[in-house]
Amino acid sequence: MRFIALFRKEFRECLPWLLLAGVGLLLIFGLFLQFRERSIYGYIFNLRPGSAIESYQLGRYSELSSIGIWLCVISIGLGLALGIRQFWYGFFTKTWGFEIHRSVSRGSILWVKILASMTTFVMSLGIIWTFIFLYCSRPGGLLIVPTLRIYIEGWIYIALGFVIYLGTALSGLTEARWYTTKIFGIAFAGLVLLAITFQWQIFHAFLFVTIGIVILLSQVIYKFLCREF
Amino acid sequence: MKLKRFSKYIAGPSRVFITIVILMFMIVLLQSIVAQMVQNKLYQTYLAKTPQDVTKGLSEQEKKARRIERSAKNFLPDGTVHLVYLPQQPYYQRDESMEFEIYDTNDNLLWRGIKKDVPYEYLSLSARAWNAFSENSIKESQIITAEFSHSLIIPVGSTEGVIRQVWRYEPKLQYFKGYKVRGTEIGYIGAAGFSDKKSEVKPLGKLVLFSAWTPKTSLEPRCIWQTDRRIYEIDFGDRTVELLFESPQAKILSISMQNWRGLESEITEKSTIIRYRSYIHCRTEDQNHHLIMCNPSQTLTIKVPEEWISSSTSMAATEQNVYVHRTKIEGRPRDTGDKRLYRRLMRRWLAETRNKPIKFRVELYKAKNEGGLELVNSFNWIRLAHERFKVPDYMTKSARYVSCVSPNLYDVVWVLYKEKLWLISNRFSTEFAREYARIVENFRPKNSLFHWVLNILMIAFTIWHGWSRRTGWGRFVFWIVFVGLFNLAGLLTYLALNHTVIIKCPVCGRRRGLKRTDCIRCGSELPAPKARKLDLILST
Repeated sequence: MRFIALFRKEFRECLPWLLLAGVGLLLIFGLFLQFRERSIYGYIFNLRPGSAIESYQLGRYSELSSIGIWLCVISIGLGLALGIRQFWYGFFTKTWGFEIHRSVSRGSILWVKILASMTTFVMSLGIIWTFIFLYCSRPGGLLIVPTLRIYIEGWIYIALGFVIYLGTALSGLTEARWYTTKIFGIAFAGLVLLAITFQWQIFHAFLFVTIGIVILLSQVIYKFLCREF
Repeated sequence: MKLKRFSKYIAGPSRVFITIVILMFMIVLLQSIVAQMVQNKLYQTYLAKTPQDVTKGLSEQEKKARRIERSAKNFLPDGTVHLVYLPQQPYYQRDESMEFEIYDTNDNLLWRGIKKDVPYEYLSLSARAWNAFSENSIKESQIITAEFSHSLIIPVGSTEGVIRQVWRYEPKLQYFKGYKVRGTEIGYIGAAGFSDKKSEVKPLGKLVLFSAWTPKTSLEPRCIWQTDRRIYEIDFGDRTVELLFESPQAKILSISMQNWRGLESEITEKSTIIRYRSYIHCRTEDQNHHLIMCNPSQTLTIKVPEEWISSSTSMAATEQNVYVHRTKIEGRPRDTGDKRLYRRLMRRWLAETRNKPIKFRVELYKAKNEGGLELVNSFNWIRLAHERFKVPDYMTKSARYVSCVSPNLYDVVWVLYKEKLWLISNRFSTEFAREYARIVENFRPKNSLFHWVLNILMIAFTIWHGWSRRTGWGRFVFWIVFVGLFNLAGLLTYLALNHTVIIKCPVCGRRRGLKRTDCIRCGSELPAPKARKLDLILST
């Protein structure tokens, strides 16, 4: 019961960000549907009879690419917002003491926070992204049906947001000064983001995300359980 | 508590990992910026000192040799060699009005004038399709960017220019999947041709190269699709796949085409004297050259001598003869199949011939009806030491300045995986691996004396700093080795993670850190404050 009560409290704090991200993504999808006729011009291949087709003309982004950018940006933004809300805000308002000194273990408090943020990511971005993909995959939805790979890449962006969240949490929990190692949590999450953009194999991208999550999560757990608030 | 203990074992190493990765990244970033700035500065100084006209100091003989070097060595169908020289101009100043000079092999000027008035028609050789899509293009298109990855898409249009359907290549499954625009799936195109059932489609094989074009009368693309053992022609309008060539024994090394696609830009439209056939020239690993000709369909295989392995060979098939053109570079190592050895020899040869004259030779052969080749004519010339190579290698020079703070680990990686790293940095691997290989290659310390001096100073500083702060011998030795391996990044990591306040031990009087409660030198505990009256009450 305590766990559920704590979860409800954390989830309530995440709710504005959940709604903001979800509504934002839906709004962008709405705009995409409204103006997608324009995006078809991107598919004009400039074909002329009796001419060689330049290879650069044939490598094409999916029509969903315009949503992809926003999904990536919103996911990163949501990661930063949740990280700050859950792990920095208490220092600004000096409320960590109230939060920690309860009849529940620190481990439970931490897991509730992480679970609440994961739920936020899945509900605000994951479910909506799945809906967008399914909507666009039906026959006649888009000029060219998007591939399953695009769907997976969308989930990689969402996972990247979670990496940024953990990086922000780690930076928030570190006692060092911001111009020294305090910033390293976010910086490392940034490096994971950079490493992903070098990958062409989905498996490698997932590997980098997983490594990033394991490394940051272990640090967050240790810091949260050991530091003094 | 279990979680706390467990996370402690992972958090410690992962903290070191995060710090070293970030610091190494920052140092490489700074190194790149500084190296680039130094390079620019050195190059500007070089330019200021060097006369702009590189031919100024050359003798007449050298000027002639340079002109010959820069001339195209063209063959007439009877084997006569002409040297076609276009005075050097920046590309943006080149136009149709530029004058060509044509010399014979004795350096007599035969003709001068603009391109369209050239009175000779030279043999046109098969050329690689430069607008082709390669295996690397497929990989590059799949890089995960913020806008998702690309797909290879072939559009099929109606004569009015409206796209009717698209065929998307599935790299994993190695076939095309077709869709009607805003509509349903059409089917699949694979090795066995068109199929509307997924279970019937056969993969085309791993893509090596592909080149697409549109026929003269429609917007329904066709393409030449090369895998490592087969060449297909795919017609996306008719949904047909034709196997043009198969080499089950040896891999296909390269293909080039002449006149095959029937494009306006191709030679048949322009040539008036020489009548060319449409053909694909295919070179296989077993040193066979295959000419796949059409109208009428014919495949001709020419076996070239073994010493031609490293020469550049191209072909021309006219209605009368088949010509083989070879460019030979004196002393260039031969690829005998051992790739590692060949790469090593090539690197050595490139280093040895840098800034030295190299002998070149072009030969034209005619394929005999009974098999074999007949030498028609040849021409030799010497390529002078190129002025490009006379410019000192400032990048290496500037990288040397900044690489003194690079980790020793780069050198260790280089020694262990030299060949592999060289291969990765020069070819497409995963982008991440390539960038890492380039960093190691450019910024490895290369055993420079200054680097070692700095490294020893940093280790000495670590020993001095850590001696009074040490909490155990294991940790102390670990950090010394760590700084030794990672140099500046290691030292900064050490300082970031081991900043402890030190005090003077009240018992032995020597400096000690506060991470341990007992003094590492004399073993005495930290001094406790004097007992006060209320302590007993407060402690209970």
